[in-house]
Amino acid sequence: MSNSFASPPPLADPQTVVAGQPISYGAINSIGQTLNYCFGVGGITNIISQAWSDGSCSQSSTTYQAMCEWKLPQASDLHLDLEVYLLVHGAGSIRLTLDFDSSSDVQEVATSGGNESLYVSTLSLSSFGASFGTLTLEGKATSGTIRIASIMARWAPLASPLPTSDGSVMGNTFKPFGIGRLDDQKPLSARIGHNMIRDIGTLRGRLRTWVSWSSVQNATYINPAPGPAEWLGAGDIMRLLTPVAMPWAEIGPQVIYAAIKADGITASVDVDILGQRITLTTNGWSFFTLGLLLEPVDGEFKLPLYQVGLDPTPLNLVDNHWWDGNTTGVITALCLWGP
Amino acid sequence: MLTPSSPQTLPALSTCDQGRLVAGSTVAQIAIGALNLASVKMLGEAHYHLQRVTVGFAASLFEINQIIEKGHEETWQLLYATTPLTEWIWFSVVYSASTAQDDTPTLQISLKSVVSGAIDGTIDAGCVLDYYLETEDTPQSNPTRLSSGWALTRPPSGSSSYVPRPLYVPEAYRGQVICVRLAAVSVAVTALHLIDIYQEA
Repeated sequence: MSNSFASPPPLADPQTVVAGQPISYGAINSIGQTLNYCFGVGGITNIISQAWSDGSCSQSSTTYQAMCEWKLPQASDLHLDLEVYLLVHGAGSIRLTLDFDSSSDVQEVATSGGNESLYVSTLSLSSFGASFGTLTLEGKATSGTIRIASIMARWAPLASPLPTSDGSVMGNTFKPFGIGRLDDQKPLSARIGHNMIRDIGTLRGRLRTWVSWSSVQNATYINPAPGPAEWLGAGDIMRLLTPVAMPWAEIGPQVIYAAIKADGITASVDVDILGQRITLTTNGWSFFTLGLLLEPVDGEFKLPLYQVGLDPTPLNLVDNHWWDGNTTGVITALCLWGP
Repeated sequence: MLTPSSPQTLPALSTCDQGRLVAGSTVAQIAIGALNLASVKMLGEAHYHLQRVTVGFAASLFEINQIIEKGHEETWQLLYATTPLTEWIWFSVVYSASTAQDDTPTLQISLKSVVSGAIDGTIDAGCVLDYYLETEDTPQSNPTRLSSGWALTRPPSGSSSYVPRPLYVPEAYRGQVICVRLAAVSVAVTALHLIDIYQEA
């Protein structure tokens, strides 16, 4: 019984299954394929996106230097391969480490110099020890300097048919549909209805990446000394404000996740984010769950559009001293995800 | 068919229990839920923050960009993972544009394919933006924002348009990783946001 799907999927017209209409196998089959498609392929898009100008993410050391770090959520427990796309100039190596607690992988990418070139690396996990993991980037040069221009990562989409086992998204179970069982002359069991309702609820929990920002540590400053951002300055706050579409915003609260990596915390640092105040008390990564306390910004997109990120409040812009460096704690990475 | 843009309440599990007469509204709610997932929630999106240099400091202390020199040019190649249902991409670009050096600020945004691990040919010539850019007669300025809008006014003809418009992904490239190319003259770009435009199924 194959958990197959067409891509793009056949979409069932809700008008064909309203009261008074017979429930035909065509609509049920289409719903099953659509849910299989959504699990395997739907929403599999950029999970990390960042770029740097003018060699501000450069390395000339001939031994690996830890440079960037991001948090990322799983797409599901069956999406085990992370594809990382790097645009790099110069001869050297990039070492990528993907770590989801008890499961990890390390890949090295050799860069060959010359012009800026695209390199693709796939990191594979055997399982997930957690719903969120870490991707770290280290760099070294063979000679001269390597300059990283951009990074993009996505989970590799699953091909049809899906594996026969159940999947899970952020801890909630997804049961794929054997499409043959949804065919003509097949019984429409209660279980099919239950699984469809549960699966839709599960897939609504797949997270979308809104902000994936990392500082650059241990970088080489290229003459005439353009430096990388080693922590998040007040000037980054407006730049990091991200317009995101939230079609679900009108129907009620859902959980937004933030991961913040801090450094140099001497006591605690309050931070305003999405209209809420959180407190950083330890160095390293901290996780926060947030609600949506914002108003939509304007009508320039077809769906409700919100600007998310660190709020441009006096606390963030002035009081935290991220504008003069006299701070009692800084942010070195910021990641934000919503449903 | 009409696609609900926001997720609707799902029917209770008990409406599909064994021995129950399943109402048309129950099945319609399930169909709407699946349609909303595929056509709205499960589309692509990417948010690139283009980290610029922080001359003299370890962080960008101020929002203002560094000086745009005479003849300043920059090119960004940013990768975007489309979905099989991606067709039109809304973009919002954050930039500073300067006329202080008597240059004409110009920003071109286009799409390129990625073939065998290399950035390849143009698949949408996109837009060349000059008059639409908000410029300042100073070499340094706070960034401003320009978006494509979401109105799908016309299909691309193969040449660039001179007004902002969504970017078009031909069917052959949907579901693939593609490259969004920004080429700027006398413009400093600090962010690019991409969101697939949801359409009626």
